[in-house]
Amino acid sequence: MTASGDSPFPELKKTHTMARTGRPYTDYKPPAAAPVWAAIEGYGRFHVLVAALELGAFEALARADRRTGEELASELDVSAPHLTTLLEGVVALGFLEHHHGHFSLNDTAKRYLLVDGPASMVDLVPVSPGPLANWSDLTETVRTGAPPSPIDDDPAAFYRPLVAGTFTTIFRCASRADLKLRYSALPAPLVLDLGAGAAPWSCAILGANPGATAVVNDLDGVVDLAEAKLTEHGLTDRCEIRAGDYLEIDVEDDSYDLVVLGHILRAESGDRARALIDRAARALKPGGRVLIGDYFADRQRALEPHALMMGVTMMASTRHGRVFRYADLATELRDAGFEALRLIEPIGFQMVAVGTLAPGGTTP
Amino acid sequence: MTDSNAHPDAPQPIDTLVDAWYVVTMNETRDIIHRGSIAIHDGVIVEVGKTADLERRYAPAQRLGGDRFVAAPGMVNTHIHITGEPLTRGYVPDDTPFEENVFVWLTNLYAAYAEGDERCSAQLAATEMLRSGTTTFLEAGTVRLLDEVFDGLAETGIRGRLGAWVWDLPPEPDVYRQTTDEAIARLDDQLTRYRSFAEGRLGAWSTVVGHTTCSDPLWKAARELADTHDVGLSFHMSPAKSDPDGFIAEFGQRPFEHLDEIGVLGDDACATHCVHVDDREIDTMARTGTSVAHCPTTALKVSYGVTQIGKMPEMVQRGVNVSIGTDGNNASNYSDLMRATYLVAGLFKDGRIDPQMFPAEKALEMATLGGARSMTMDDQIGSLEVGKRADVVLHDTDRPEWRPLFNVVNQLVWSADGRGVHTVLVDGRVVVEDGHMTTIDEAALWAEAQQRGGDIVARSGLPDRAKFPVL
Repeated sequence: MTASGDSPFPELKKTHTMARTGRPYTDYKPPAAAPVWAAIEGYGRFHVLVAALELGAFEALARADRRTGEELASELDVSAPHLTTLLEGVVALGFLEHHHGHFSLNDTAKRYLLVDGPASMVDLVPVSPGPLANWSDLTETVRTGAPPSPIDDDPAAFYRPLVAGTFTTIFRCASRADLKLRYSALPAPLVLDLGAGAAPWSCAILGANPGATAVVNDLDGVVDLAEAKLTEHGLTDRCEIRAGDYLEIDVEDDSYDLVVLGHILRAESGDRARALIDRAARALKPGGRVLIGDYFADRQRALEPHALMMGVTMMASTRHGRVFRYADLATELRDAGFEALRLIEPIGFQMVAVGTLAPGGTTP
Repeated sequence: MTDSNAHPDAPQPIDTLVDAWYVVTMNETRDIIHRGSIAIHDGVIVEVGKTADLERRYAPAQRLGGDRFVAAPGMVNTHIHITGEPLTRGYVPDDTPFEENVFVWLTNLYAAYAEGDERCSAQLAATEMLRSGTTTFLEAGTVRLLDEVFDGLAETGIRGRLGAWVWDLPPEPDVYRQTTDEAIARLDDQLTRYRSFAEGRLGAWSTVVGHTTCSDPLWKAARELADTHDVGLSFHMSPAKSDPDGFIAEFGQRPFEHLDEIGVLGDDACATHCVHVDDREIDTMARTGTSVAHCPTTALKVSYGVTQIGKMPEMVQRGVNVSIGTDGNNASNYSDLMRATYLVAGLFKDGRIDPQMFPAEKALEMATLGGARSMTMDDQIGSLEVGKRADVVLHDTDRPEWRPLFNVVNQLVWSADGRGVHTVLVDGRVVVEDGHMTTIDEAALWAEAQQRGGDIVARSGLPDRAKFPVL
């Protein structure tokens, strides 16, 4: 503000404001509508990407540097004008270049959207939001306090496609975590992988450490996916499968070097999550580490949009699922006897909380 | 070490077990071990791992450290003048141009050292280094009375490589004037008599002053003697524009082009400063394996322009090994390599307006592994690994600058300095305990340094240029 209280932008004052109308000057400018449009387009953006993946458009472009819509449509045997329109949508998403009628992959697409890309998310994309039908019922879910079709009623049916789809990304996260955790250097570690899904963590740890062995757990209707992946990685002879609820299966006390709770705490109620942490503490030897993969809200639950949206995703599909704050988890870990807490991000968007069981072990 | 009659599961007797809250190993995978220990026997590291494991496996004669310490490898200072300046620290005003700084002040102060001064000076430098976590140094090659210096250093327990003042072109000062033959003979003599001293902790190197002070025959002889005696070669080069200007005028080549042509460079050569170098010279350094000792404090204080024209980031990018030195106590008034490492991490962040320049991890590598590489001792020191010499520093975290502790390397480089060093081992022997030297009488050293320093200043005839009045 100037000393007279007048506008700091006299040129605006002359042409647009109270100089002509007599109204007091204000420099208030309305916020842009872009976030609203981003939300409106969100539904469409997701489906544009899924359709492009399902049609194999990225793979086709990877085989041929640059193509017109017609050339690609011919190769993929689809409608040329429709494919062109779809690909223009992918250009809007920022995954393709479009020059002189030719589409080509950009670096983001090459890295994340090819099946063999170095950080492929191809399998992750369609399963990440959970059952799509539940999103249509979101209003009703909030009204009634529960989703009409919670995945809790038939967890295996939901988790099978989810764990299969997330394996590639979580395996990469687990593999990269060695740079922060050096589990590959532990002498013959014993791993307890609870709610392992398709066992990306066990595959990564046992793959990196020839002396490692693991107890791998998940529900009856899911654990065969873990067995399949462990077989694919040639690791079955170093794994024992224990099917069942991870709070009910038998677990040895004071025996494990690493306990993995990979993306399971947020699907549980607070009580069951605490019980899982206590179970991990009892299972670990002093000095052993618990690895908790999850999406953590920030302290004021406002600044970490990815985690907050994950909270809505959990609400949309589960009875108790929620996103919790790392600060609260840290308190629970300390209460359970863990120390040297760290929150690492082995790959982008994938956080892992790590705690070391203190020499005194678990609190009585 | 092993007892054939002992039970196979019985703890193995060793000399020392050092415990720490965190052990910064600097091994190949840069592991930091939480609640870790270092097992030491016969001056060598026999194992590094979790305390819980090592205390089961070993029966140490002594146990050091504990929960409040961070253990790190002893740092390596690859350029320091341990004589000539420590006893006149701070006498040279900080606003003198480069040429005046070297030829009016430093050279004349060096020339005023008398018998006994260099022994005291070397012990003062060694004390400052050890007490701030440096266990190994490469001296700048400016010692006059080698015998007393080796003797004084041996007493402190420090590890180092050093050499006498060798040049053949400058005609003065008288005390350092040498013909080419005399210079070569001096090099040969120091390498013959002091190739290895104090159980190998100390030794001579093929060091020449460098800059534009050496003839080609002397450069070539220094290289030949380094090869003959299987030691490295070090020299000053290009802190200021005068060195490249001098080489171009004499040979039509920049310094590193010329030194490459006459065969001086190699993976055992360490060149100090290297601020005024061009890209071709950097390529030459990379191709020949020549290391660089970057002296950030000197560059700042003597206005080398390192942040404006220095190419240390490019050197690192092209694979040149860059280590860190603290230089002399009038061009850089301290010998605490932790403070110099802080500057290495920060200078180019600001100079290039790029926070990704020299992350703390890289700076710490330069202060440890980089230094070891510069001294061709990377198989012996620079990290806490099995088989390496037990040069260990315990940093006390019960200090305000160390708490809270989350990122150990950030803390070492950005928060801490040598004042937090509590215990230092060289070859497994405790030389600093609770922040004080165990090997020499510190109080006597302070008094002797003050007395001898005053005498040197008086002999030099150089004026006291301190600007504020002293009442």
